[in-house]
Amino acid sequence: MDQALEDIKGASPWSDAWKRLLKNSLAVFGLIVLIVMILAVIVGPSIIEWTTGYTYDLVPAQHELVKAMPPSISHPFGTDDLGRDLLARVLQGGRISLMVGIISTFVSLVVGVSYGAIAGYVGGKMDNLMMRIVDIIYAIPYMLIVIVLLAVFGGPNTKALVTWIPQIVAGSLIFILGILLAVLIYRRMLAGFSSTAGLATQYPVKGLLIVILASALLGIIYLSSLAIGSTSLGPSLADWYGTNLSQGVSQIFLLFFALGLVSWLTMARVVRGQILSLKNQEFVIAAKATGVSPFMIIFRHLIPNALGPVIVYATLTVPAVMLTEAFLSYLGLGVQAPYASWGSLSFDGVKNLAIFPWQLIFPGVTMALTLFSLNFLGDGIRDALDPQTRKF
Amino acid sequence: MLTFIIRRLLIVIPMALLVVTVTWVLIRIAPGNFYSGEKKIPAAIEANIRKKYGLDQPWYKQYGMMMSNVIRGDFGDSLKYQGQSVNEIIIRHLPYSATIGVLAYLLALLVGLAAGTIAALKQNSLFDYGSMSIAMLGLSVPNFVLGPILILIFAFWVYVLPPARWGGISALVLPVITLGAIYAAYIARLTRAGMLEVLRSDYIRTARAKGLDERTVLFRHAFRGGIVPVVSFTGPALAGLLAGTVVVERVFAIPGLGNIFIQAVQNRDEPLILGIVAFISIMILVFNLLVDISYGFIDPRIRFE
Repeated sequence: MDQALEDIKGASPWSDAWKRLLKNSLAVFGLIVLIVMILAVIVGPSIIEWTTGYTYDLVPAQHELVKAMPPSISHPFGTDDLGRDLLARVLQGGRISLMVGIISTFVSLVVGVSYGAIAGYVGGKMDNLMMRIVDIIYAIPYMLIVIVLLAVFGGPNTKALVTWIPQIVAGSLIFILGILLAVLIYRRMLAGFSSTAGLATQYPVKGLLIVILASALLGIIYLSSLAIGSTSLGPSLADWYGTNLSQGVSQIFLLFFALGLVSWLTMARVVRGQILSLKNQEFVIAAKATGVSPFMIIFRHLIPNALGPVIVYATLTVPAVMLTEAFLSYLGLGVQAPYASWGSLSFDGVKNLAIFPWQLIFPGVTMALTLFSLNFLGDGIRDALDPQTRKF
Repeated sequence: MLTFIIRRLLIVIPMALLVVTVTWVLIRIAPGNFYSGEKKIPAAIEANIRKKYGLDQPWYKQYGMMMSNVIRGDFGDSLKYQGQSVNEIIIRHLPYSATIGVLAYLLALLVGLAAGTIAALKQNSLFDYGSMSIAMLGLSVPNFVLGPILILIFAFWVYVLPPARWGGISALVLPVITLGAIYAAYIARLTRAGMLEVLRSDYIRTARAKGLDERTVLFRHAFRGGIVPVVSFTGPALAGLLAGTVVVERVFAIPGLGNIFIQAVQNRDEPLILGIVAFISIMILVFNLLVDISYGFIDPRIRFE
């Protein structure tokens, strides 16, 4: 009988969810379209270049008055105003659109998950403070600020932003360490007041030592940041940046920054809620009892268990971010020529809508198809990971 | 309840000032200025310009001046449109954006609530699958693609509606549909999910058990609980409508606030940018507050902390 029991393989929740996902035909459709799309944008431009010689920024030397050609065998998607092959441009644009979506989502994952997990695990006043900050940022009409940010720092002005990178990094490090230090001192003080054998009598040396060490560390970082500010690290970084990266690329980095800045908020809320419901369960108490550090409890025990909603939310963040990117590029604030994204291609297409409609239809439909698949996949994953919602 | 409203109202002002401050800092720390362009300006003239706009003062004085102006609600004159005050410009261009925005949201509510409720009542029917697939399509087609395609079909292929123009109801149809489509899709999905959950709850079973007719059960009991997610979506929807109007105004060449804002940002017309940012922030914050208050009326189970 024992043998028989061992033969039955327990299905893990993940393989179970995978099976449920495969039964959902719309989600599978989304997955397949997405895989094909990703393969196409990765290898497509190179294949087109080998076979026909067209690239996304190749302007053919022709002398006709109208350079925009309707779709034909040599140009399946037609050409744009300058005679550039639209298929190559749509694929190149897909690279940037998908990259923006994936990287910004990754940024929001890292920041949001860590932030939410720490807030949920620490709890109490700290949690309250951290979530209040999220609430405040949430209420800000960030689109206005993103538009202003991209408009004033776009183009040549990005260089100024690069010059300040060392100071910004040092400044935020000091800010984070300062908060940690304040919390540490606050906790020590609480411990000192609340217990009869408090801080002063119980750990007279250790408590003082921690505070002194932390202050010293803060001082060192502050001084070194001053030193960094006075050295030529920032300007030389800007020089390197100016010579090695074109303006189109700089705008893309600014986009990552602007989109990553706001997309982590909901993620932090989702993760915090999950952690709150998990942190008092037996396995966490067991881990605490065996002396696992809070850091390890959060990242080894709590986060893997909260992964379901995180994956669902991440899948739905990708299309949202891509839509925002397209919107900004459409306004002329995002990706700049000669680079293209689906948003900027649509913008170019709209200008000639009445005469050359294919210039809008191909990039627009490609983008809509991708977003459609992503949304269906996200819905499918949610249903698969959370079987309860399927009963409806 | 009253303390809740007062406390929230007290937060609105500092929040709006915070947004204005962030915007001001962004404009100021970026290199260049509103007068710096292709043409080089002689040093004497530049000094005069700086003096006129108080740019020769230390930054904290400039910030103080800006803040006191903003608090008094007087943003001064636009730098680009000479002799026109920011408030005048906002009041002149607001009606265009407001008309499209309000109509689009009403359309979205009407279509979304109806489709979502019917889909929930006839779950797994053809209507359910059909409307939810259309809703998914609505979520996936960006409005700057939908708008031009609608223009292409209804203005260039079938001559029934004007492609871009302001005036008359016919000119409103396409912009409102373009802007409202994505929200109709969201609301339909939210309503369906909310209604499905509520229709399964105990109090609906009780209502049916005590012999109420189906219409009363549906509209007096189920509907109120079912649309709570839709109400909480109103806050984000408002912010989204705002971004949406920027695009729709561009596509249909409507002289609304969004178009003016983009132009102001590109001209670095500081007073106008700050004015629009402050105005829109306060509007969004107040609307969010109204949404929070309305929860209590819609679903009596929700209490204010």
